[in-house]
Formats: sequence, C-alpha cells, structure tokens
Amino acid sequence: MWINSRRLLPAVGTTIIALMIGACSGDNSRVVVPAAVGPEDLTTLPEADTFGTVSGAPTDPAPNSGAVAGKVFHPQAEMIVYAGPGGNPIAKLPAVQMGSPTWVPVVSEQNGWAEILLPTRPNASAGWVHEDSGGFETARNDYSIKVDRAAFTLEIFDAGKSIGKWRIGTGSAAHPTPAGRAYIIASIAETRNTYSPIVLPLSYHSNSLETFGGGPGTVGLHTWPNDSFVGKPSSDGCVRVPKDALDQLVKVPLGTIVDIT
Amino acid sequence: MSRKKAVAGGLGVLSAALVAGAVLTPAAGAAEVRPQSKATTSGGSGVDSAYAVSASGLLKVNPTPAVDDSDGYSEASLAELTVPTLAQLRVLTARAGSGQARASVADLSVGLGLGRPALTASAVEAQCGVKTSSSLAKAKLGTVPLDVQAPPNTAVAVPGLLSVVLNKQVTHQDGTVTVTAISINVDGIQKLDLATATCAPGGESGGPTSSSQPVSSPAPVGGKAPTPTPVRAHLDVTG
Repeated sequence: MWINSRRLLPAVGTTIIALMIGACSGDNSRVVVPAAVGPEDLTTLPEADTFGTVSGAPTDPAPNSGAVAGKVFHPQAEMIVYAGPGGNPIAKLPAVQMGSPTWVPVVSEQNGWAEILLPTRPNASAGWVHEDSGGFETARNDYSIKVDRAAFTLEIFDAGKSIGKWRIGTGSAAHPTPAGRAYIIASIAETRNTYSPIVLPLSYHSNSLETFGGGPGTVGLHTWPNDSFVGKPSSDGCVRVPKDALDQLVKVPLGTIVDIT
Repeated sequence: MSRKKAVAGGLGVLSAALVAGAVLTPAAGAAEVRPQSKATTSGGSGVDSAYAVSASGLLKVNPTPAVDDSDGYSEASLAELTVPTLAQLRVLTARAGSGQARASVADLSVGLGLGRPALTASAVEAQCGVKTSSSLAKAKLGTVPLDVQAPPNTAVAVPGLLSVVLNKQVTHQDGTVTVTAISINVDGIQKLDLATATCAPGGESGGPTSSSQPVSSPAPVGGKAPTPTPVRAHLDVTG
C-alpha cells in the first residue's frame, strides 16, 4: 500500500509541533477528557437547581472579588458538572431554572473546561463543565450588582459604571442575608405570592433557614407592597428593593453577579 | 409457605399499620401536596405534573411532593419520608413546567410484606417533556438487581401476587403520557408508585407543544447576554 507521503508529512509535522508546545507550556495545551459517567451514575447525580444540594463541589475560587461582570454560560440541554477538569461528576445542570433558561457565570477557564457557579446549596458551590463537548452558548455580560448590607444599599453597574443606587432592606439579625458572590438564577413572574410581581431568586440560600414556605430557603431580590423595609433588616433573608430598583433589576441578564457584603 | 399464608402474612403486616393510623399525609412543614389536575384546556395549565411517591390501598400516601404547572413552573422537595412498615425514602423531588416534568427519589427501601423481598435503590427518577424515560440506580428486589434503563413497561417476574413494573408508561385518552420509574402492586391490596411524571404530547419530539411556555433564550445579540423574559412560576423565597 502506498502512503501518500505529501499528506502524511504535514500531519506528522503538526503532531510533532503540538507535542513540543505541550512540553513547553505545561498544562495549557493538554487535552483533559471528562470522566466516564454511566447511566447509573447519572441517575444518582443531584440536580443543580435551587432545590439541590451538591456534595464534593469546589468552592468559588474568588468569592470576595466584588461585583464583577464577565462571561455567562447557557447549557442547551442538561450537562454534567464535574469537581475539576477530568474530575469526578458532582451534579447535573439542567437547561431550565424555575422556568427560565439556565445562565450561570463563568469564573475560570482552562483547557476546554469552564468553572461555573452553581445555584445549589451549599452557598458558593462551583463546578466545571466540559466546553469541548459542545451543547451550550456563552455571552458577554457587562452588568454586576453590589449589595452593601450595613449601608442598606444596592447598586447596579454597567461596564463598571454605576447606573443606579437605591436604599434597600435586608435580612433580620435572626435570618440575615448571606454574604458572598451570588448571582441571579431566574426571572419569575410570581403567580402565588403577591408581595412582588417579579421575583429574582439568587444562587444563595439562607444559612439559618433550611426551608421557607414550600421552597428550599432561596434568597431573592424583590420589591414589597410598602416602604416599611427601607433601611431596615426585617426580611427573612431576601433583599427587598424599591419598585423603581426592581424595574431596572429585571433588565439585567440572568447569571449577573450580585456581590453581597 | 403456601400462597394463602403468604398473602395473609402480607395482609397482617399491612393491617397492623392500618390500626396504627395508616392514612398518611406528609409531615407538617413538608412541601404542599396539590391534587392532580386534569388536563382540560390546551393552555398548558396543570398538564405537566410530577410527584415522587404515591400509595393507595391499605396504606394511603397522597402524591408527595406533588407539583403541576397550573401556576407556572413549580418545584418541591422533601428531605425524607417514612411510611411505617412500607417505605423509607430520602430526597424526594418533583418539578413541572416549561413543557417538562421530573420526579426523583434517592436512597429508598420498600417493604413489600412478610416473606417478600424488599425493594431498595440508591436513586430512581422519571421525566417527560424532553424525553419520556425513567431510570434506576443500584435498584434491587431482594438480591436481584433491576435494569438501570428497562424498556417501557418492563414487568419484573416475581412469584405470587406481587407485580412490579419498571419504566411504566401510560398514554391517556387526552394524549398526555405518564411515566413511573417503579410501579408496584402487592396482592391487589397495596399499590405504590415511585417517581411519576406526566406531560402533554408533543414536547418530546421538540415539535409544537401545547402552548406551554417556551424555554429558549433569545439568541445573544453581538455576543451580549440577553435581557431575561420573566416566566410564570412560583417559588417561596425568604421574604
């Protein structure tokens, strides 16, 4: 059999070059494949949604990095989340969160893998998805939100520029709003509770309440029928905002970081 | 043991539970149990539904937790549920909306009566909408392992009047489909369903759905993250 040497040599050449690059730049060009996950493992994995709890998840690598904008990630179908590139599977990330399409912030990238923040308990859970497998889209998000609990303020930033600052209410001493780098997981046109027409649940949960009503203790952003909340720690964890603040908050993309200090 | 004796033994266990007050409802503080609504209008309202466990017969357990999408996307979970003499279940979840439904139970153990093998599994789940399917993880009837992904309506051969159906799928007159991960019938006097989901037709193929809310994101414009569209749903956040 004749080998077409003109076709073979470039392939060999490319391979040699790739190996040399690999040897010189360490991990950055090494392909890390996802761990195999059989149907039994898949059935056992917890769902990465607000009702889920994930064990073995890495923690947000930079939970105090402030209100940062960045890339957001949307799985088009349920995706497996891993503890690290090439690591064990820890959860299944569905394509939908409480009816909204899933958008999560990307906090790190490496070698065809992206580290994302999860909407599950415990707070500040992160995990890795394999980008080289496809089945997702990403987008640039210029927005970020900063909540200062001591000052009772919420501020929205667009590309680093403040576009609004409001006086808000926070969780009570018994049920404080948790601090950390949360994000908006969904936009809910609330059909049963009447205190706010739209509720923006966050990825964080109360540290003092395991459940609340029929929910898992999810902390959210929403308004309130009267001004009693302004400048007060009176909620059971949620950040209560004036109606005109909510009107701006509903415009920011899902996956927007809400930095709570 | 003769069949008559085995049945009597089974009945004995179950009736003892009956004396102890066997019509069980979820513990206070558990997720609200909503009755299964019938699929009437084409509005998608209440058509998609799910519940993690349900039992009828000598021991009755209302569908728990149970949700449907009549108030938009809904989800519920329960850390654990013990039905004395019948079942111990952990991490029960149910969600329904956006043309989909899903239910799951983790770490379950079901006693099927005196002399009967116990059913155990580390997880079972059923889903419909994207695809109609169910699966079992480490499920066993006694020492006999059960298939992870059995074909629809797989009957497990068991001696006596015990009937176990895996991946039970029923198409109703209105075209909705109900899938149950494990459906058990003990002597015709005790039924137990684990992980049940019901969806309107059409969602599976990605074809026109019954006007349930679309999930697709608006395509990012110039790579910018899209402005969200609020979706009808109910979630109790911490006020």
